[in-house]
Amino acid sequence: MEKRNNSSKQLDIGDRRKAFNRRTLDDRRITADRRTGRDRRTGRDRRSGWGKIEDHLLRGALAATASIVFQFSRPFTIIIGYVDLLLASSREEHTKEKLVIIKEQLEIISEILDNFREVDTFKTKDFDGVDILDTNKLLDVEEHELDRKIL
Amino acid sequence: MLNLINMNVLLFDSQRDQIVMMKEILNRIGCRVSLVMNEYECFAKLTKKRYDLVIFDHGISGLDVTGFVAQLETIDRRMSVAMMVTLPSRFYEDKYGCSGVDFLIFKPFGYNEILLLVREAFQYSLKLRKAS
Repeated sequence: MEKRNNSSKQLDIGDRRKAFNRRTLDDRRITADRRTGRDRRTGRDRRSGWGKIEDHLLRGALAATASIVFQFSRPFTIIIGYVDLLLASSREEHTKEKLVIIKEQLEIISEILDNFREVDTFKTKDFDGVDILDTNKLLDVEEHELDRKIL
Repeated sequence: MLNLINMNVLLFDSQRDQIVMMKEILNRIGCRVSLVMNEYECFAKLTKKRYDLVIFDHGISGLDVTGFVAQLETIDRRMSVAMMVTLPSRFYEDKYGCSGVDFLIFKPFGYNEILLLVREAFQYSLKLRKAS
């Protein structure tokens, strides 16, 4: 009994109903993913909340930086405030020296938080093979102290 | 040189830790400070006594900032209003640019930033009182 192979029948050249490319014999349907909501004219995804992976990465990075700033700012404010108060009231030179070091380190963290706050472009830099967020500001952009701290 | 002594400051936050620290700094500067932890207590204080500056936290849960500031303005238009904030400045400019918030102070801040804020607020408050 003869077995009919449907797949081999689809390879017939000239059968327009099979959606084959007659030149390359490729099935055109392989490249067209019909499950996605992609607009064929603009190439954009019409479904809300969907988009290019790069867009999601950018939004994720911005949300992460905003979250870090938001979560860390309050405890750091309290620490910096009390360190300032201790520096103003302490009379022991030995204690003052240590407090100055703590204050310097807190200022570094404060600057990092400031940089995180102003992140609006997604830029990474290589750190020993690992991509980390580049938050370094351009040195020629000097803002007025009052504008930066208090509007 | 501005005389910041006896400047009345009202601090409003839902959590005590931050405003207690700020109170200590403000007392050291020479200000008289009151602490409140809810909106009603805040309005009650403001109706009883004249304040030069109100500092409140943007992160107070359930607080309608625009409504709160509008209410402050109805009590005393000449009083300076400062908000403690964390997010980028453009967010606040867009959202509260037209509200009555006079100053934003970005966390984390310390003694110097509070001193700067109080000086600016005092000058601003003086200007408003002279103009009225």
